[in-house]
Amino acid sequence: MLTKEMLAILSTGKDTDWIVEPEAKRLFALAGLDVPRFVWTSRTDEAIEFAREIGYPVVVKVVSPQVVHKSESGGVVTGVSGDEALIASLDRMRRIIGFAGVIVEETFAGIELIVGAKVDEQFGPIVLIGIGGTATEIYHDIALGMAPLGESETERMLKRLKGFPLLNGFRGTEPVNMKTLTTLVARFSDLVMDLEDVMESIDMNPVICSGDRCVVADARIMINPHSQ
Amino acid sequence: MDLKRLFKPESLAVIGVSLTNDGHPANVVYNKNYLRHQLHVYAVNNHGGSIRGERVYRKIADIPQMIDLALIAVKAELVPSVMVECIEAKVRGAVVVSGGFAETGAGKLQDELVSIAREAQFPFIGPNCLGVFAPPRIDTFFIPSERMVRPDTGRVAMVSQSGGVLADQMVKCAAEGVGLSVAVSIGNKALIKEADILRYFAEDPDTDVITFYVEGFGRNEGRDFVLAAGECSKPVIVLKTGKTPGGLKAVTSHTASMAGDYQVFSDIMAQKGIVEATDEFELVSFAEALSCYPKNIEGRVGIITGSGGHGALCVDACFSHGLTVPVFKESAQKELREMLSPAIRNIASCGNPIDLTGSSIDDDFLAAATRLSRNPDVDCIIILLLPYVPGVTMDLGARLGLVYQQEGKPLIAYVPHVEKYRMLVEGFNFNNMPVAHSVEDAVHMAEAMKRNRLC
Repeated sequence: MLTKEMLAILSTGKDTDWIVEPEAKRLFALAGLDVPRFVWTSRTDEAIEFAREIGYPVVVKVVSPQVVHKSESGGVVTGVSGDEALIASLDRMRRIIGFAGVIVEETFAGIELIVGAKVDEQFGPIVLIGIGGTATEIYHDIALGMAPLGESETERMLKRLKGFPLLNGFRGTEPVNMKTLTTLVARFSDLVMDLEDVMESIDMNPVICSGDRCVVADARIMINPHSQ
Repeated sequence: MDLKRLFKPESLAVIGVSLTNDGHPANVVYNKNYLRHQLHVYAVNNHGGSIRGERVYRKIADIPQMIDLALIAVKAELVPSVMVECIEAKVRGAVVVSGGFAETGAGKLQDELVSIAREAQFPFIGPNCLGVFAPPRIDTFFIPSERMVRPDTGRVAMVSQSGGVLADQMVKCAAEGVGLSVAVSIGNKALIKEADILRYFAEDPDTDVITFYVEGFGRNEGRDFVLAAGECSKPVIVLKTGKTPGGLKAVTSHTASMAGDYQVFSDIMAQKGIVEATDEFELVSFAEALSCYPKNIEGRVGIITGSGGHGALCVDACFSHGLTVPVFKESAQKELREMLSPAIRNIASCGNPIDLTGSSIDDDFLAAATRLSRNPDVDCIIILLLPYVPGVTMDLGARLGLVYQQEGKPLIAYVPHVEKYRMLVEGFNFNNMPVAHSVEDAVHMAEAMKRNRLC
């Protein structure tokens, strides 16, 4: 069920046909998905205060309704390790077209996945899980399933990935907490069912998974331009 | 809507028979049902007259019997009014053979037909189709009988969007000994779609396996189909064309760019345990295997062969199709060896594959099949039967059938499909066991059993 607050977030994408990262994350948090702590601000002092509060290193990302792919526009800086670097990143991002502030958020380490969805003409809402996060289009190691997905269906999808052993603790790395991952995908697939008439596609990319959490580190929602 | 009278009618009215052209599709259908099928068939044409000495009725309402099924083969623009007459005469359903609807751009005319039918809860198949082939009861295909290759009556229902592909699949079924409960060509599937037919055959006591040839699903039609298949306890096999990536719009998301039509289809079939066939040969092989063995297997294969080379080919094919070929325990190997005939006891290989060599006899194959049936390390047996081995007789198929009847473990045979070995093949077929036409095909059959229901 979409709450009033969720509908309000969705209405912010009316003009541009997509929803910017901080709003998308707020929506996912409301749907019970795990998102990093972040602040959305255009003020340097506020950014510094928040970065100190959560502790460096932080990630800084531009928010602009005109920039869908942030990395390509120099709109993502990871490993920002102190006030000076943070100020420099902010100054650079202010020059990006349509600048509407930045996100400052905590840094996560883990295995990067993409979890996405689109409304398929023949099958309705479908969910995609892939290995590789931002490099996923190179590996093309993906599994698709029709929403809604139960947790066991999600697990079977994960097992179809060639990179599945990576999630299971490959060569001494910490295995991913499967339960948090399957719960995230199952909740996401329920949300996608509710968004069927509104959305065109969603990317949660990357979703960063570790031994204790599965966090939506970046997200955007493309709105169906024919929806109301 | 009750579809029973579409597939099991007791009376048929053929509307649109010609009094001057006996090659007219309606005449072909009238003639074959009149001469060879069990139901009562009546001819209808608005001019009246007679055909084969029988009366041609001017209107369907003039027929003195209640009609279960109407075959409509009149010009497209006349179909809606004919359908209204059928509804008024309390006909139970129709097959609309006529073309000239959505496939030629006349979508409006087709919509009109659908709304008439939907309002009256009147089921119809088509338009632009061949309809229903279900001997000995009925055959609405407008292909003259002498031109058709008719498979035996059996327990596979075949549904196809293309009549041509269906007729061709029937040829393959006949060649492979796959029997059909019904073959349905659904054409433009304006009202009755794959999902509706699937729901019907899921409950049909004469059908064990349902196959589909699909060219495309309309909006959300794929979802409806998959949900219906999920509820069906019988194996469902699908061959779909048009899987290549369609024209994607400007790609703004990774998900949209990566979720191409082909993988969406394949992955969803796997998710729901529907068996996807990748070509028309697989469709028939899968139907053969799953009509014999509808239960899911893990895919741990035991191989029995009379030729080492065939055994090696089979192992390779198993691995490349995701099946395993477990090595047997020493004790199991020893037990088997002791049961073999003296001539091969010291030369046979009792691992996996079990190579009985060219000196083996029928009894060796029976011993190996019996031992493997009782070996919990394998859940499926592939037996490569090469009739060139001098000690193998034509009775072996039927004798292995007995092993299967007693032990119950799925057994797939490969026998070269030539007339000379037909008796061997039939020995298996009569015992409801699948016979592959190549080593690879036998492995495909095992793979289908693995993919059935669970991925």
